[in-house]
Amino acid sequence: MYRQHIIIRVAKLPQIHNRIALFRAERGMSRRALAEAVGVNPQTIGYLERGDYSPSLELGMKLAAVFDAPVELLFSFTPFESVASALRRAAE
Amino acid sequence: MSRFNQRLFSRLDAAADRTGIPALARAEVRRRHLRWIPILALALALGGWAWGLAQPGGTYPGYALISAGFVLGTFLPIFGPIKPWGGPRLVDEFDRQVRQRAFLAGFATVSFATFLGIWLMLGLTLLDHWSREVLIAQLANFTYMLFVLYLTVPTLHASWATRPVEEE
Repeated sequence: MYRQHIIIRVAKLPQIHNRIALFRAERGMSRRALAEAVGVNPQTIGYLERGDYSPSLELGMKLAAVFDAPVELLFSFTPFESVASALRRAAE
Repeated sequence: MSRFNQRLFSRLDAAADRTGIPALARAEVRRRHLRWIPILALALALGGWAWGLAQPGGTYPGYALISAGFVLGTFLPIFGPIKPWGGPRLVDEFDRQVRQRAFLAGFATVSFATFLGIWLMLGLTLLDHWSREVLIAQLANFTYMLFVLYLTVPTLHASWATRPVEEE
């Protein structure tokens, strides 16, 4: 008798890290101003910055366009280096 | 307009504002995470249903408990974190995702409870020899309880799945 075994793998979705808070602080933008620029609620920007929500491709590209930066500078699958350690490295 | 009428109308306006209904119409209601009220509503409704099952002869106290859960449950879609379809407020992709997941959890819970409840009531009807009237009252209680589940579970899910974002 032929038996087919089905293996179900539950793949964990990768977390997307972002630098939205850093870019926003650098530009002196409020959450509300950024939210209005990309057409979402200010709370959604808060959830994005906290890493509780991964944006759609459309929202990610809109955010990158607001900051005039490439998407990969704003989002990454690996954690970004902290500003302090980047400064230390630059000083060395 | 006389001064008396002006004062009267301004007081009437202030009284109407205090009811919160004008704020509802202007979509200024602050939505918040309601973590414990849905649990209380669910406890009342499930307790009422269980009471009705345990006392098939007198289902009214159980019905009253389910009604209390229902009354609490009716406020949850208004003040809870799930934004409604077609409302005046902006519903962005995050809100849509929260709503989608919350209602999926709600419908799954209602479906599972229906499956369990039907078999439970069928079993109790056969074991306890319920009369036709008792069975009808039990079915009414059960349907009412399912409606409370539908009202409360999505808000419960959305309130516990996300943490509120602090104001800037």
